[in-house]
Amino acid sequence: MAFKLSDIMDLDYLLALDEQAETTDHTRSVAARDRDIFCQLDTQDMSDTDLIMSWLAYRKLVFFDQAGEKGQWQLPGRVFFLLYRWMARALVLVAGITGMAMAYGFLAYHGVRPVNVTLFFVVFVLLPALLFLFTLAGLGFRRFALFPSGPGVFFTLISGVLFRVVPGILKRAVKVFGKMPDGAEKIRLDAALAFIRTKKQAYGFLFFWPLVILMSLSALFFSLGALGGTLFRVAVSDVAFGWQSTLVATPSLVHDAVSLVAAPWAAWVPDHLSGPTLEQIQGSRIFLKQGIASLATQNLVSWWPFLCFAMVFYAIVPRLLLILAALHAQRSALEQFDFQRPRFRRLLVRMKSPVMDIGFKEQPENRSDVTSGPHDRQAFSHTDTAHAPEIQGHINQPHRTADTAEKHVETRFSDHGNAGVGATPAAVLVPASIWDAGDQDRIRALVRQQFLLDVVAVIAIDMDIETDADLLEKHIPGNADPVILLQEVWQPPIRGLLHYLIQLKQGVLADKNLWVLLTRTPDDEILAVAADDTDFTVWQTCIARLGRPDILVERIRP
Amino acid sequence: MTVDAMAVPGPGTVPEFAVLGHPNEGKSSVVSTLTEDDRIRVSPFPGETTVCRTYTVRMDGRDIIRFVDTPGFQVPRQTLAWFKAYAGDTGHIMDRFIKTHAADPFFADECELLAPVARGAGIIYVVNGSRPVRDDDLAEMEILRLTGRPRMAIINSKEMDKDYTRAWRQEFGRYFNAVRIFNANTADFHERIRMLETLKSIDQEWEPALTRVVQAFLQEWEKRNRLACAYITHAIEKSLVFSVSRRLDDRTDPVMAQENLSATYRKNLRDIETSLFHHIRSLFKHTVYEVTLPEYSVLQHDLFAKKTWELLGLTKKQLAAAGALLGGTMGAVIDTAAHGLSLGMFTAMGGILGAGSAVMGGRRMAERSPAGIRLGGDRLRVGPNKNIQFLYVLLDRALIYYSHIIKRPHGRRDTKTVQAGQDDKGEKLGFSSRMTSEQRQICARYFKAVTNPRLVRDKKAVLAFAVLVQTLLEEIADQTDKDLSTVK
Repeated sequence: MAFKLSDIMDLDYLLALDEQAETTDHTRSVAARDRDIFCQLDTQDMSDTDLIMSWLAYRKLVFFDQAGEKGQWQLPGRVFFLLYRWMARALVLVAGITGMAMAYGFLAYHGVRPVNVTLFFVVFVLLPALLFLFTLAGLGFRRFALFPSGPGVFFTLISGVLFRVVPGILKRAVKVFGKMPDGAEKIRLDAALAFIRTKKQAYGFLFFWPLVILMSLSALFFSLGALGGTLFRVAVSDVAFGWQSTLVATPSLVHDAVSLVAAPWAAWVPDHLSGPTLEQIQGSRIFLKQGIASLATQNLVSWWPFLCFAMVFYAIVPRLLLILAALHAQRSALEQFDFQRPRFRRLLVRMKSPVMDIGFKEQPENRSDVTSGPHDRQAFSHTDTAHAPEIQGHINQPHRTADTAEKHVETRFSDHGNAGVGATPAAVLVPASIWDAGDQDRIRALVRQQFLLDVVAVIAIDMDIETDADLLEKHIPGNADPVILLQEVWQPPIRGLLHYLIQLKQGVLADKNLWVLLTRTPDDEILAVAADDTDFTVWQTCIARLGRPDILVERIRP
Repeated sequence: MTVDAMAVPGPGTVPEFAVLGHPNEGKSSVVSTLTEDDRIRVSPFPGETTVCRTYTVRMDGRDIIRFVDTPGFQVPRQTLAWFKAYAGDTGHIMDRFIKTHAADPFFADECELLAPVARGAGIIYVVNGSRPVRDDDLAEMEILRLTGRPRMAIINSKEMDKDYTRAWRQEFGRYFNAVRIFNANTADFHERIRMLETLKSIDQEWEPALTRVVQAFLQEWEKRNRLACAYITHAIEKSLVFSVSRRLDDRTDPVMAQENLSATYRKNLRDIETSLFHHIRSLFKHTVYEVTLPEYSVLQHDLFAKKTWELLGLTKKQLAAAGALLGGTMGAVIDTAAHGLSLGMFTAMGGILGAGSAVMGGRRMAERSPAGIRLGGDRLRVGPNKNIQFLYVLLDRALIYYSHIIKRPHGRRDTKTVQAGQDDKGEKLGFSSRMTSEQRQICARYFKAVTNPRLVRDKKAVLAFAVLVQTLLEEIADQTDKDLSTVK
């Protein structure tokens, strides 16, 4: 299933909306909705990517159905797409008109002084060619790379223009034409733009190629405009070309240079169109004091095909090829997008995991104590515990030895009754000095309830990579992914702690997703962390700065 | 006494203390409160302090004590591992650590925070008593123990509903020479002095210097109280004698003129009070952050609001007694109504002076129609206020503001206040209603001396009133927060 950059942005945005779930009820309803979407799909032969895109398509339908016309200003992907399209159109128009106007103006000839071929060549052929080469150098020169996966010096410049300057210009410009949403819609638009700017850092490499395409489009249409202007001028007016130089003495040198430049098209274009001959070059040399009266017209007009072909082959075709290459690169980057990141994995877990719910239906069966009127609640006040469900499976009670190098690990076996068939297995790491054995069940229940994960191992760690690495190597089940580290939210994310996380990811958890699950102190009755908690915000910021999409920060929700 | 954040410390000559701890424990708040410097950036986000900042307290241009605010520990376990592995001269352990890791950004914060300790500063280790002890804390304490420097621990509680003080104290015993609970958000002057006294015990060599520091702080406090007294008595006197007047002519609407003049009179009195409050605030070094009055404070009401006059000043019975003291000759009106303003104000407005007209006394003026007494060249005057209750209201407001200011720690940045219930039993809430009869006599004599100008002023009465205000300020300063809970 093909998808675009705007799809990924919308996906991220809609997931972020779900992650704002404050209460457990809301979390559950989100899980139920995602499971419902999954059940409606024909999931046979569907890859994880297809599942996610299907989910996105459904969510967008619902979103626009609910939001209506206003919704288009809210989804950042849609906003980005509109922004991009407008900018492309504007660039094409401006560049084309500029090129045409410049060329037309440049070719002004009033019978006295011919158009200086060299200048025209420099402005409309050499300069675009050099810019093209510069672009190639910028794309390939890794020293300036700001992102590991792509070149960077252009990115910073162009993205700054696209995401800061252009939205401002756009808003002002569209305001004039009365199409700008106002009030709440404007706020949503601003929020969407801010979201785009934020995500630009996370998905930078995906934004890069569209920006290269934009840049190349403007260069391409400038050259096309210049070519059009030139042809138009040549067609409708008398234009004479000449060359002059104080330094170059021989026309033969010029001829050699012209022949070299014309090499790409000389083989398959008639000679009289490929470029001026030596005689024509001689005959079009300008000596200002002599004027042009003595120069033959056929010599003076012989340059224009050469100049047009030069524009095509050195300004237009390279840009076209670059655009095609950028489109291909963009497609490749999208195809390589990692949908195994923790955020998307959670979505997949929610979709694939069955949702257990207990419904209650009051259905009296001819009971003698049921009144004919409204239900007498007292008749149902007793609680029947005779058929309480039994806990299935065997649970090992953990215990810790004095030897810190050897930790007992609790593992659950065949707990069929609770997590649900097909639930994703996860391992939980708990700092040994903070959590007791008695907290194990509490932890499991919370993780299962909120993230629909089956906790297959709870491992007590020392938060010291030297002792923990071996322990984790031995005791984390191979299929457990993600690995969840319980962390008290009030503890600041100091460098030592973040370093520990990085070491885990670089070592024993290299191929697993690591979640930092923030909680309150174990002594607290309620472990939940509010969404607007300052410490939670600090953790989010610090984890984001690590730049590791496979390290996720989450919280126990109310 | 000044606090300079840019002073370069001289090792060994002036007591210097580095305030260390885990990030976000309240180190900057502690420094801010100890040095009474509210310019120090305090943030709920950890990592606000990234470099050491030295705050020097000076007396007459001489440094007397320095506190160094440091960044929090970032890699305590790794630092402790290095300390434990160190096999050289323990006296140079910190220098060696800093030299070894000077170019390593991983240990940048540790190098920064240990630098003042390396050059001889004592250690004040700050922890948040409202959260439990953790392994990183134990690592930090062990590091500090291995430095060998004199050190004390402060338990600073950031949240009042959780208390892990006992657990902290149990751990501190092994690592610190002294331990003290010091809440930077509530510590008043006396608490700060006690804190400095505790610092004396961590190193005998510093005892003489710290004794001088404590004396300097006490002298400074005394000076501030004297100045505050001066500001208060001056402002009260200005308010009591203040009046405004304007000329009336045939075109002037006397009712409108009366209203306008009253408004001007009130505005000017408010300005006097505002200026007084500003002086008191500056005196006690609340310079950057505006001190927000508690929501329950009667100062939230305007000086001339009915509520103010209901809650402050003397009771009716007390007023009656004060009136008897004043006697009937001066023509002052004892306003026993709950809202004594209007009568007192209009009484004060009796002064329409025309050519040949006599000065109009209180009630006679209030009963006259303005139109009937307008003569050519008449002036309308508002003030001075002859209601003695006005003196007590002004005094109460000044004392209440003073009590709020001196109790406000400089390290506190939030504007939340503890809600106290409003006293709706009709009782007076100010200080003046609790004065003794002797004190009220002093006030009455003062009022008489100020509002009835004579050739020979009763200087004794003015001086006695100043002494009374000084005494009241000292009593307020000595009271605990509990005692002041009835003061709104």
